[in-house]
Amino acid sequence: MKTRAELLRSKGYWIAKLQIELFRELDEFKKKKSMNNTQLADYLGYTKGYVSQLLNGDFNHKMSKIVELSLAIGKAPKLEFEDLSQYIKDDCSFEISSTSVDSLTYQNNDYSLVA
Amino acid sequence: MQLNNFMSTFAVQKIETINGKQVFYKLVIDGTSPLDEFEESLEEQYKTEMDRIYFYMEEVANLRSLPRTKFRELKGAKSNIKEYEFKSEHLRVYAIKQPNCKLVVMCGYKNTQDEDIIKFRSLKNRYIFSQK
Repeated sequence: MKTRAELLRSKGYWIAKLQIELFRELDEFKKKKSMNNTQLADYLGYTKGYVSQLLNGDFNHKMSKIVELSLAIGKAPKLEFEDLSQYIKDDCSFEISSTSVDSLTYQNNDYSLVA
Repeated sequence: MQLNNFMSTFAVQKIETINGKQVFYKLVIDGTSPLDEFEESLEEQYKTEMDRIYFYMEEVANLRSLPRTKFRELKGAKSNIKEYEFKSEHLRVYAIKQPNCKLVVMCGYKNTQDEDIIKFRSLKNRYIFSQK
């Protein structure tokens, strides 16, 4: 099995992280403005299919597109870089103890959180 | 803890790769983990997808929302133990809810999901039975 450090050095982990962060920002914006996917697509000037792709956490586009999207929903697209070795060191030394979160369930048509 | 059931020995082991508020465990059957076996058997082209799935598991461990296309509760569970599916384009990871944690039972490919879900439920039932 892959170690934590190996995972943090993998491309897939960081791509998924960026995709899911963008998904959350768009999803939050959509909910805040009480929009459906069609309205969001119209607002952003993209097709509904493209917006669905974004809201599914699936995109791999140019940086200019990410900046364009972020600005359209009123967000500053900050990208921070940190020394990877130090990041891994800090992450691996920060052991979060398990919590007693129990039976928290929240679901709707767009996303799910089941604890 | 190890328990014998239908000639198999079941155990669970913490997944150290995932760092979250909630702990993830993997099922170990007769000393072998289906998750580890699957990961070791993965072709190079799917390794990035598996790393993505680890990220999704970490998000769930930190009680954060994900698109339903990445993580969902499986429908049709015949017991009151919740069943979950983590998804990437080609891969599937099947897990169940346990007290204050999640247990990864097994993994599979998208194109074998129907058979895999049957196998997953069988393993789940055998594991649960072994705890009684």
